[in-house]
Amino acid sequence: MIEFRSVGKTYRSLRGQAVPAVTDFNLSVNQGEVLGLAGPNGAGKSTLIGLLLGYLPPTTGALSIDGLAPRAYVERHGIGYLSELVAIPPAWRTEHALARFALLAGVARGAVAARVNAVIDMIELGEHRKKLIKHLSKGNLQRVGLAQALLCDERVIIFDEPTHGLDPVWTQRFRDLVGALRRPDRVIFIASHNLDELQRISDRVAIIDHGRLQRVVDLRAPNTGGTDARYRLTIAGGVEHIADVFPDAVMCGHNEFDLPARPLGQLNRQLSDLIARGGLVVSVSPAQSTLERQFREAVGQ
Amino acid sequence: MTAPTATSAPRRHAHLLPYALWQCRDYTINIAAISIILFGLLGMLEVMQLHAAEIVMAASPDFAVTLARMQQGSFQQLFSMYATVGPIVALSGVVSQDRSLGYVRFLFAKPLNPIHFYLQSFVVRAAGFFAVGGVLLKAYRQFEPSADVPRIAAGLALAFVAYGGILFLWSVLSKYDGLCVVAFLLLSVLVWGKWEASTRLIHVVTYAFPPVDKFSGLDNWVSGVNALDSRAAAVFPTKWVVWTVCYGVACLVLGVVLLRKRPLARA
Repeated sequence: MIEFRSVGKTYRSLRGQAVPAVTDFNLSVNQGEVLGLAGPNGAGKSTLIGLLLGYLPPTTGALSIDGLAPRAYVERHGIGYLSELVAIPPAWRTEHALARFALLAGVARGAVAARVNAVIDMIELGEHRKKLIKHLSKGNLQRVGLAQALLCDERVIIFDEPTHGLDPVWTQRFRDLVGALRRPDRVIFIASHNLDELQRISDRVAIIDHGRLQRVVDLRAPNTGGTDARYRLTIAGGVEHIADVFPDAVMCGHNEFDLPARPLGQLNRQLSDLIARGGLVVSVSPAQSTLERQFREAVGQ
Repeated sequence: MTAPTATSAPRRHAHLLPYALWQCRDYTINIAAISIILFGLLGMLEVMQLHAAEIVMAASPDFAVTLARMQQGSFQQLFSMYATVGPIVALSGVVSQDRSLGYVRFLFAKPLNPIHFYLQSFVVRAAGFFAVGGVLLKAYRQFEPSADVPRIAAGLALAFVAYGGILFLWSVLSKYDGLCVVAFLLLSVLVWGKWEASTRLIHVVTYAFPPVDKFSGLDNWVSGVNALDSRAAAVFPTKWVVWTVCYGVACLVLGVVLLRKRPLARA
């Protein structure tokens, strides 16, 4: 549904110097997919989103949404978009802002009030509906931004740092919301610095650095217990047996040990041995998520 | 870029016409109130001066003639001020504010053509400019006589297209659109004053600027005052009005073209 073909974007400084922001970016995003976009600051994520919304023209290559140039697609169908910084005139009231955006999103005039009420209920903005935008907290403003992105039944939704400023409760609810928004004919594009969040909600994550696509991590692929993952072991008893059972373990806290990568079978055998010796295992988990590990490798950290 | 292909999703349109009501509301709150206060105060000062002069000159033998001239001159001054500064106040930030404050991001993710949106905004602001002009005129007429309403309306319309078109272009180009237009109009006056009569090639520079000074002849026509001969009827300065209005329209068209060509937002 979304195709990036050798897309490049170069800015020109006032002195005429070329500043490449995105270089030779190739990616296809299919319908029904939730695609995460991760990268360090200045990697080119915002430029990619600007290109996708047709706000910026590519310098080289082409990108299309449903076979149309981005601007043409947006002007025909609209895109549900939550920007990183929510910019809404401060003198507007929440419900008025949503009513305005609903009209512009193509909601029929007679259905605006009902649609606004529906998103206000969905995002739980009821107590803030009469407030001026300038009187909203950062988190509530972010929720208004989220609400305006969901006013219409868009087939393409772009969230740029969606949980920025949200409290833990709403961060969790956002994940549920993305789950509810999933649809076979819809693409959800999420740019975030929060790898844990992307790991939980994305099907694939594109990692970008210095304007180039470094790799695409498919999180739907079954975890085969690769040999390159380190583990974190936490125990409540039997610490004296650790050196015998896990000679390569490194203590990293009270009753916590870092275990270098090993095959899953070997790990399970060693754990059985530890338990047989009287060790009390509290938890064993990957020291880094798959995505985090891949991200670190991709951006060379 | 990519050739458009048939898409399964139904096409949607922003409901721009109903949105005009919101734009009217914004104009009333943000611009009309300030315009009425600003130009209303200037009008009050002018009326107070006229009344003071009436008292002083009441004993003069040609009081009626002098008073009529003073009233015409006073109205002309007020009209000139509103016709020149009014469009700048009305249109300041029409495009640039949305860009510089980032409002474009949510606006143009909707199924909305920026050209349609800003042209509607231009029309709404024109209507607001007329409405405010009407309120000011009605208030002024409570105290002093004014020119014919059709002439005033025509004068305001021409001034709005001329100055408004220039401002629209600057609003697409710069976030300091109001300041840029004021500087540009002052520069135009300077350029025309310096090189209009020149016989050298530099004379062609004047064609790049609107003949603002000449366009102010429109104020004389509206108020019925002949600047050179007070007994003669004021003449409509056709050449200069056509020139300046065409300049404004050309700027408006160029602004619309650039609106499409320039990036809508920075990354």
